[in-house]
Amino acid sequence: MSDDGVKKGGEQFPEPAHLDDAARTAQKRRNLWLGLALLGFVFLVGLTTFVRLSGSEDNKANFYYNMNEAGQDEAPALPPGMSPDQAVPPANLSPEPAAADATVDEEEAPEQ
Amino acid sequence: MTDAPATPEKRYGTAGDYVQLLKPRIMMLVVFTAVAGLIAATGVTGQSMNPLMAAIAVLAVALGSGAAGAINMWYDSDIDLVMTRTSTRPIPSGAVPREEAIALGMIMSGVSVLLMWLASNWLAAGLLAFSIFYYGVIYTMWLKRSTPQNIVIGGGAGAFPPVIGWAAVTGNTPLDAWILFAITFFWTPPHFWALSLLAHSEYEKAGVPMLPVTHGAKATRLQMLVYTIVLAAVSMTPLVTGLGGWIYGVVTGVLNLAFLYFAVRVWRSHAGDNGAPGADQKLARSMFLFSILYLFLVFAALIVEHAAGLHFPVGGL
Repeated sequence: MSDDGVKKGGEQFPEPAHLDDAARTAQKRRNLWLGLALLGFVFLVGLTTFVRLSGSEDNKANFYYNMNEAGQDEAPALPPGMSPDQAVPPANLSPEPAAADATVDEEEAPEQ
Repeated sequence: MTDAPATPEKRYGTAGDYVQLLKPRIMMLVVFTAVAGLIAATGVTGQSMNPLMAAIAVLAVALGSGAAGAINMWYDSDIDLVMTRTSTRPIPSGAVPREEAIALGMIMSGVSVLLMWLASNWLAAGLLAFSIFYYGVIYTMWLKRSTPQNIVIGGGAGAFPPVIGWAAVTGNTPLDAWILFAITFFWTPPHFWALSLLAHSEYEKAGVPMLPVTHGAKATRLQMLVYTIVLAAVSMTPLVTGLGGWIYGVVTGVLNLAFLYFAVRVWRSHAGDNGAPGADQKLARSMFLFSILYLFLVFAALIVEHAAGLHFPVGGL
């Protein structure tokens, strides 16, 4: 836009809207609410991402942590492409650490 | 058809006007039933959900409900202007421009579905998206102005929240979740027709084919009674599946007797007829108000049982 308010083709730009005080106040208030809403949305997305990545979420997204809970007759369906072996919890998350410790103790016990 | 809408007087909308656009009273009931579904799912399946994620999921349901309300008010602003009851809503009163209402509705729809997906799973997010589409498009744009069964079929939109709450926790929707759906679904006709008996002349003026307008008040009162009987039966099925226990059974049993009492009295009255006595009109209004209390207490009983460890099942499939 040139300084004289004329487009390249010679067409005049429309006059900018002149808001009265009440309209300007309403617009500012609306902008403030919109800004706060956007901030809230960004915060919530960040929060959910943080909770999910930190692994503290205990719903079905981390499905194999729930597999051995009482009252659950069947393991939840595996994601496509995952075999049952892959769904076994890692050794350090085994539900029976006491049993594993007992095995080690037996192996390390001196023969009589 | 509707009368030509008059040009609304120009005034600047406040935050309160935008809140009204989201239909906060409906939102409260939607949130409450979603929380009930969420808590019942936790109690029945033993699966848990991170409390923070659960709170965000409930917020997503609230935003989705508000989005559907804004889309509804955007589309219905012409008939809202004609009816006295709705003429003070933000768009017909000139506080909020139509284009801002639809923009708000669309943006909130996207935000709510995205938040639900982030906080829970794609199934709950998909159900939320579908329920917004159901209310905003299937009910508002299609059914409402085309069939007297509008609120029967459209009632499905309001019945989704407990299913969404359940899906957010478990990632699936078993029979118990759909029983909660059915309770809200069969509750909607007697609830809404009790109101439309009082306001049928307004709907007639606006050209909305509500049952009392197309089939008369007598047929509507009979339909209300039939749906209340079906609701009474459906609302007791949680006792069979084990979803509801003794507390639920007693509370819902008493509420069903009271709801049936209202339905029979309204059926025998002249509520909605031309020149109906004031007492009959008052009776229809009492039934409308009681129906809100009914749904609140039925779901509250479920919440109390499953959240406070007071669930003592009568039966179980």
